[in-house]
Amino acid sequence: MNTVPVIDARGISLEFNGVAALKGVSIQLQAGRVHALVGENGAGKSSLAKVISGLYRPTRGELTLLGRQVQFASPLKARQAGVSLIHQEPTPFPDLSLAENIFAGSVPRRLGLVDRKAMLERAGEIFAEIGLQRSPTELAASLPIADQQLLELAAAMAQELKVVIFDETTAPLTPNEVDRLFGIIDRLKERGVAIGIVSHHLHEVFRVADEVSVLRDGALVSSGPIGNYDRDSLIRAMVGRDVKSNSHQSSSHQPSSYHPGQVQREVVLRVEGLSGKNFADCSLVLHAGEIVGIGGLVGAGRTELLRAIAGLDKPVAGSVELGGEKVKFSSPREAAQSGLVMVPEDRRHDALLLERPIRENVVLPILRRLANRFGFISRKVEVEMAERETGRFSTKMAGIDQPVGELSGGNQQKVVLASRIAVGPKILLLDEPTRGVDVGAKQEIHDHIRSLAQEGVAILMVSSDLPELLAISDRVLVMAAGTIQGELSGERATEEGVMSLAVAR
Amino acid sequence: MSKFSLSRLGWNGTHSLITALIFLTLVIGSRVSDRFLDRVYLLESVTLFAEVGIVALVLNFVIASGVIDLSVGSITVLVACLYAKLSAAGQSLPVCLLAAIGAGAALGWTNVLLVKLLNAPAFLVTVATLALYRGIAQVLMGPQSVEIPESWVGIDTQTFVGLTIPLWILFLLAILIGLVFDRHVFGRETLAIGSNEEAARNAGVNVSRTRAIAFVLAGVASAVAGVLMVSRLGLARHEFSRGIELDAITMVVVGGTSIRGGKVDVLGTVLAFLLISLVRTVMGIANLPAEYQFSFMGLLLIAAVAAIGIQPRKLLLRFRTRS
Repeated sequence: MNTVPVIDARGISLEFNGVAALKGVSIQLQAGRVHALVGENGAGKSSLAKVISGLYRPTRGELTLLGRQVQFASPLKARQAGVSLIHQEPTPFPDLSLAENIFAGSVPRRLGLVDRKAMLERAGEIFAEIGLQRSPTELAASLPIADQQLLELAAAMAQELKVVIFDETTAPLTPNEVDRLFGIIDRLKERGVAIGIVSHHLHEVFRVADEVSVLRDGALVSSGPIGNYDRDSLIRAMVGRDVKSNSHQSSSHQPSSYHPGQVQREVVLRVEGLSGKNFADCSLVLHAGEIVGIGGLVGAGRTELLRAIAGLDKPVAGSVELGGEKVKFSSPREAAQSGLVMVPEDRRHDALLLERPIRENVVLPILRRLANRFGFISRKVEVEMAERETGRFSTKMAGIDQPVGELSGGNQQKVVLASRIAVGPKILLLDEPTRGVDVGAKQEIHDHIRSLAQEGVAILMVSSDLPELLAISDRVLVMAAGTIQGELSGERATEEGVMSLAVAR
Repeated sequence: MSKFSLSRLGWNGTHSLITALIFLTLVIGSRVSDRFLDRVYLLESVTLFAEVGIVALVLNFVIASGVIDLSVGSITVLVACLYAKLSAAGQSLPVCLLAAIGAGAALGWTNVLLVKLLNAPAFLVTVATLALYRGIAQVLMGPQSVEIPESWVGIDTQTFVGLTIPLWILFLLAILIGLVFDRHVFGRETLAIGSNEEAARNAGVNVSRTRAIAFVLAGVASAVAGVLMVSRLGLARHEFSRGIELDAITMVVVGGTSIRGGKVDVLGTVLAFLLISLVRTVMGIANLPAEYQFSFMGLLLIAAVAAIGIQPRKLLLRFRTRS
């Protein structure tokens, strides 16, 4: 195999505001071969896929397509050059027909007008080729997600397709739909298209890939023909070699005050058979003073489970019991009144009033408690409260009247936590409590979570940060494909253990 | 020294700018007519716009929560007509006043119900009720004017400690509303919703109820404006107060309240009220035709929008980072 690779990416680095997402990654995609990209959450798989398909421009490094250096100005330019990315959840134009969707940006013309006939004919041909049983005149609005992905592929094939990358495409699909997709991938291989797939599901990787590359923390750590790997060696490569030392650390540390078997702690939360969008039949119990971690890969349904417990989304089945009583929260407000509070993952979007002062952000959840019977809040009381709650953390700020949007990510997160702790919850649900937070702030947040548990607060924490998950959880539940795959504690709570359950299906 | 204490009171660049423009308007006005700077004349002129100012002040709640109510002018005229009809039918003054305020609240509440029922943006719903409420006023009144009894005529000419009654209402209301935004649960939750609706909901704010209260208050304020208007004019006609929603929104936005919500400036609204009423008065005595006055208000609104546009920091904050 001495042919020129279709895609040759050399020394690709990518930075966002100084944070490295990719560190000098080199990778080749060959004609008629499937190359899988695997790694933990945040390892850089999707970033690499987006660099190759022109969505991101690399900070350093070069990209050649069939031996010629390229720099795509936009995904459309990349597509016209024959390089396409298929998204997990495509966003078609809902009010346009399927044919119009396919040719958006490169409509066939005749005499300057849209050549509708040619467009419909060509769309029909492509649909037949990939087995999409739809009429090109249908509107895209009602298309199920699997067909939306095929529509995106059809758009890619409207040009001369040289490279296609599937970014976590199988995650929302049913097994039948996955089979259909793999059938299409086989046909694309025969036609000599170079194919990349980003996947969390290792059995799929073993099923379709010819080559595999493992990314960790933005760097390429292992690469080669799929035959050189088995499941365990792949997981080891994804997690890293320092696994052993790391797990020792976490097991030697005795987290919080929970000691199984010592004192039977009160059950404060019992979730039974809870099902909803992206998760099904989840059951768990949470004791007072306990920290339970939920591990898993992005898209495993962890956030959705937390949101349903907290009353942000309505579950379709199952029950939630608080202190032995069945509850059905219809709003975060009701949940907070029962002592259950959630810290959402995306603080800027779901938790902070960015242009308002820190003071107002901190007291927002407890305004009513601070108010007198006419609804007015004494400024003195409010300032004292805000200072006390932010004082729990060493929040770096000009003062409590500084707009919270001016703070760094770590300090913003401390403000969110302070505001939720101010409520005085019995149960605290944390979704990625240290995402995008610097090391110092992270340590401080961890210490605080532990001390809350010592005070008797029950904590359920979703985290994609494996060392964090193992270091502060008393036990870890691992989710994959919307269900709880198993529970790990003590000696068995290792990074490999978590990953092994997380990639199962 | 004085600057320090002013900024502690919440004085800002917008306020200085509007104040400078007020002085400029006074200077221009004194050139146009020598009777312009007369105290009584100025008081009368500004009182003419107090009704709009009152609506603008309360509209701050709706706008600070991130939505808009365009039906306020139509509520004003419909309530004015209702008041005139009721009093012409021989109802007593307290009954008429209570009925008017109640009608304002009900019309505001109707906006809330329609938004909820149709699951439509407040902008669309209130464009519809802008037409609807005025249409009802027209059906009610036909082409004629209805005069009201002497007992309620001329509140705008009565003064108390140097100010007319409508201006007293306006200034006291401004202080109250300023306090509510600063220190009251309702004001703070309104700002939270306008700043980030999802975050407010997650923090336990009852979003739909808070917005509902804002719309009802806007309806009540429009009703107050309506009864003040019939008192000033002594009669009601269906075509009164056309376009005052534009003036009210201009006062709110020029004053520095963010049309996107989350930021309010009550003092700014009061200053913008003074500026706009003076500018309108000057345009009036300069015999500028009504259509030019209307164009000028449009230009002022565009200028305010441009001033908002030059705030890159806010835009940066809005930029969402999701991975």
